[in-house]
Amino acid sequence: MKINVTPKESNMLPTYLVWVLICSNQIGVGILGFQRIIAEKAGHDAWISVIVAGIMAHFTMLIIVKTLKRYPSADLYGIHIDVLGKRLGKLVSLFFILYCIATAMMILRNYIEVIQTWVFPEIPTGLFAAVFLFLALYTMLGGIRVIAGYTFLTVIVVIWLLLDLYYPLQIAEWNHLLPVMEADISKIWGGAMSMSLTIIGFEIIYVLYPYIKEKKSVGASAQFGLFLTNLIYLVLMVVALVFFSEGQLAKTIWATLNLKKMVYLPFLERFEFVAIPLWLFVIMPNIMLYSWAAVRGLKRNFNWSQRKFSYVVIILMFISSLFLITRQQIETLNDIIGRVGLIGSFAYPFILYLLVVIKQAWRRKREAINDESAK
Amino acid sequence: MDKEVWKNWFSHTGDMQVINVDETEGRIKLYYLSSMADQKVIHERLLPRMKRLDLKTASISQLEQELAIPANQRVTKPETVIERLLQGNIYIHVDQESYGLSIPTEGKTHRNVTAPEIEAIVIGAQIAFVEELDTNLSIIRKYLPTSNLYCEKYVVGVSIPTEVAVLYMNGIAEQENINTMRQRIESLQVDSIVDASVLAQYLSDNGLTVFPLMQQTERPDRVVSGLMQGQLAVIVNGSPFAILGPTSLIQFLHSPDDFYFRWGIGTFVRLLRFVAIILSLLLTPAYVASLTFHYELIPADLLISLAQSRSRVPFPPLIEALLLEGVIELLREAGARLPTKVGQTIGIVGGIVIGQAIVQAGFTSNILIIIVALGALSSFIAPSYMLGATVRVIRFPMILLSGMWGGIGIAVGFSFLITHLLRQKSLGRPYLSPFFPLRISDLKDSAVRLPIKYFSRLPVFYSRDPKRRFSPNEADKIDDIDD
Amino acid sequence: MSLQNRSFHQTFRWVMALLALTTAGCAEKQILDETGLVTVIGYDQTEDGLIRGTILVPVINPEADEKIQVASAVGLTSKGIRDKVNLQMDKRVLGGQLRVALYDEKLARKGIISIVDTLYRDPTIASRLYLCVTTEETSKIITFPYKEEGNIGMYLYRMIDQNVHGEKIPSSTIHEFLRSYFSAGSDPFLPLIEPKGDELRIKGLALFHKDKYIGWIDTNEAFLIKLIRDFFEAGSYETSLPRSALGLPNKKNSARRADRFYLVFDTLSSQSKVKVTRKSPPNYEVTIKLSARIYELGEPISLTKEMLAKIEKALEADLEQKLKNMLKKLQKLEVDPIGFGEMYRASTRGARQMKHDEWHNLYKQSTFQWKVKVKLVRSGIME
Repeated sequence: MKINVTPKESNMLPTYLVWVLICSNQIGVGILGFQRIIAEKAGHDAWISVIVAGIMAHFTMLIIVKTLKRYPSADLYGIHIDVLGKRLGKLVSLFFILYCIATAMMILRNYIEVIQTWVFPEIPTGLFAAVFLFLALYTMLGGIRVIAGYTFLTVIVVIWLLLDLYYPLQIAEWNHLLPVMEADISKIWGGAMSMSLTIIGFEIIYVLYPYIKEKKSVGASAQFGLFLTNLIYLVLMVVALVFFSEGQLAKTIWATLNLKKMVYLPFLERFEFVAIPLWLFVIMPNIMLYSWAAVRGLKRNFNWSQRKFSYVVIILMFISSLFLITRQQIETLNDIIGRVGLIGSFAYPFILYLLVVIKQAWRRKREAINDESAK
Repeated sequence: MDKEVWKNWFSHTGDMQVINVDETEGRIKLYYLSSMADQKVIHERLLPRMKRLDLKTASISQLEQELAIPANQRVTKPETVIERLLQGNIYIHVDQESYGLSIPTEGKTHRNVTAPEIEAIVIGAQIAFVEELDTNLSIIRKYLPTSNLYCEKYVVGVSIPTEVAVLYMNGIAEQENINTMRQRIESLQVDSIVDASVLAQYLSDNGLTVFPLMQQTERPDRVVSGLMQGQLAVIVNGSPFAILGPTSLIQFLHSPDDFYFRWGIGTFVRLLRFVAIILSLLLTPAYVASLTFHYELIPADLLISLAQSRSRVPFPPLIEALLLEGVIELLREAGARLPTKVGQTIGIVGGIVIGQAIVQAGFTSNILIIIVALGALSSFIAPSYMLGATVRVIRFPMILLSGMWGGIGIAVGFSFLITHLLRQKSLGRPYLSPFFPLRISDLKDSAVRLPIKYFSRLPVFYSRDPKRRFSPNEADKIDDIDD
Repeated sequence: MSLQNRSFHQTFRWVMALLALTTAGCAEKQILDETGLVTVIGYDQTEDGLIRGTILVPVINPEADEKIQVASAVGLTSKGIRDKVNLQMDKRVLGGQLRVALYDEKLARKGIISIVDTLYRDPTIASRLYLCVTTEETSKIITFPYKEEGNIGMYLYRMIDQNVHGEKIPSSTIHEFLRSYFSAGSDPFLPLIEPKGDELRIKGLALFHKDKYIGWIDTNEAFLIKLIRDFFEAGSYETSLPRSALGLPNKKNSARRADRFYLVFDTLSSQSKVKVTRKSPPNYEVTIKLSARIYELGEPISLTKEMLAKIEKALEADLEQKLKNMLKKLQKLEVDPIGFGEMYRASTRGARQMKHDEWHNLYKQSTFQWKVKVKLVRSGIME
């Protein structure tokens, strides 16, 4: 397996898509109800936790891009092989692949859970899982450009949903935010840790990197995407804090959807019933990108065609979705992925960076010695 | 000459005419098809000149000189003779000579050039293509009297050859596109093509999609502006429609008169069409979804009048909507098939009488009638009839999806549509350009139409290296106030 | 089996699968005209401690004489009541269009949180649902044959909505009720509805301690609450000022007090600022800045500059007095609809853990300083 990937020019993505893809892959179902979990830990200072988590993400992204820039055009799988050797590298890559599949699963199942709770309580999970996975497969078979296009267009369609925050803000109680910094550092840190499930998604850059045309500006574009996500999270957190009282927020599972309940137009009320279907456009890029990353990993590590692996991964996800039935099971999955995401997305990039630096230094040294002995 | 082939054909062609020029001996003969050739040419031009010669001894080369026939009109093989005769040529045969002569005449069945009917516009040239390739070519050449207008002729069809011309502007059209088009036409292995629409389907990148991947137009000005922007045009003999490609989806919502009006009006009309097409896809499904699943969405005042209008309808909204959409499609199809005068009557009968009766009989609610009519109207607003038809067809799966899963179904439908469109290509170019891949400079001519001064560069869509057309500085130069 | 046959079988199988998907995969329908859309629901306390629920469903059939359909049932839980009500209806009763929920005074005194919470938990119920307390039994109010408005649910909804938007009473949706309920430093309030002859009217604001109805204040006092709580707008207000303060002689009038001068003003904008100046016991400094125009005068007087200044002064004194009286009343009732506790929490570090009763202990001892600034900007089109 080659360490570097050099896709065809026509399959490459322009750099402006990086921030769209990062932003879109971060925002999924977590955004529908992250406020409660953070506020449970940090109270009305939860918005500070959101900022802290955001800054951490920015820093991690810096390291990730630094790691990637040490290679001309490598992805995570190539780096693993380079740094850890063939066997160990494949093993670690396999973990990442499983993580991607599990995350895609989690997003899919959570969205179906939202549908089942809010709209169609009696619809079987498998049915919607099959439909959504079919859509994902159809897009994935078009390649990364089609996935990127889907993401880009849906972001444009859905971004307007933010404007409906005007309605809940009309009855906002800004007093709820005071006094600032009442929670101590450990609580705010705890809140920031709880953001992990919501904020993960930027690690997709590990796999996307070879497909980006101008590698120079990847860092800036990715940071901008992160910033946008963080800004959206911050706004939603603040609006939830001023819209709900603390005790009320602690009982609200999907705070963002509850915010949409306040919207009313002359021809349309109960905006949440519009927002839930529209949310499909938000979660589909997540499912597609994560499955794509997994499929890429499988293709890179286990020489088979990407097309075949796409079918395999999608069918695998469909079957496993049938085993996630109750809310408790979903919560458990969320919890596991939150933890794994915390380690995988925030801690692992630093370790990997260190390994890459050491490996390259060691290699340079050896080459120098070789050169010398050759002389 | 293979006598057998000739004789067999001769005896099976009733409109074959033979004239013995030298009256008695029958040494020199004129052959032509009375249905194809122009007989005036024989009596006014050929015969008087031929009679100047001594017909008893005249050789074929003498005739050639006298009639000033270019050398490429010499024919030797009987197959070629038949081919030429079928094209409306007159064939001169002289006994004991190694070759004959064919003289092209203008075919008989020519329709006069008329105003466009399918793509009628208010302001702009009132001229449409006809079925004759050369006429169409001459119309285009009149618009573009330049040596840079390249025209490549091909013959398509194994058993029935049809003349096809590919036009493009040298220096503007992208070489890659020209090569793709050439290669597709050359590698085409078909028995025959009847119409340009059929050829367009053969040339499409994806034969399975319901979306038109090549533009077809009867308007020369559309072809000319397409050529000037770098598109390729294909004209098929026998079809009054030219094929334009590569094309993006948004161009099916463009009409030449968007540019004939001022930019504000052009933009307004384009946005109207854009919104109308989306509404056409959304209105009836939204009705079905909200009445079947999401009654909470509707404000109370609207809800009561909606419910009242539906109170006598025995069907669920899905069946109701499918029924009415079906009726509308019936009316449209019947209206298109019937002669113009009857068609209008049917439209009125269908629209008013059936509509009224359906509501009174309690088959549908009158609010649905409004919605379906609006949806149908919106689909007709597309300047391209092809796209309008596509939109009308994809409404039905949309309605079914909305009847099954409400809003989620609509989202699933649109999601599929987005991916499907993203996967389409026209001559290898992305179909959703300039939205994806985003070409900011091409947005000037997409869902909006910006002022002319921004059009100093060619669209990126057609060519990778857009050339400057005129200096924008010239256009930008404005005097200061009160100078 | 021939090849052709097999391909036919395959197609057939696909078509069957598709059909199965479309029939089995359909979501549960709730077709508009097959559902009874409840617009108003009323809850009463019955003598034996159960809850009687009454619903009103508009009849959609335009040919029907009766415009509404009413059903009621007795049960322990609101969902149980709904199931019983369903037994009496020809259409499935659904709550997605519920606009107003009424609670009878007796029930409200016992606490209504469990009923309100179930409504809020139901994703089909709107967050903008208005809750009201009624002086009479809600079943009577809902079943009463109103002449002017057939559908009393929509009527009530519009009545409350209009008054909330017209800035007469503070908004009290289910969301806001629960927001106050779940915060230690404020108490919910709801409009109090009473039947009057053939009609209904908003009597005032019903005040709650936690979820228990304690007492009520009239709409004029409700306006004062709005003045403190809400920014920017407050609607119009009728008041009387002592004639002496304006320098006017007393005037005999049968309907009005001789020493008062009556006027109506309309607030164009209002700003309130609450400052906690002392923590224990809390002392509040409430500054209210009002810019208003005179809407109506009880008798024609010339509005000179001096006169306007006098009116402003008198209005300030009048409002301050009324605010004082109202606050006393609220403190006595042990209700905090304005949310002074919330303001206390916001300005005091470490008060986050404060419980509801802890706050009320403080509330009893709280003192208030009032500062009202009135600015009359316009006085109609006549000088």
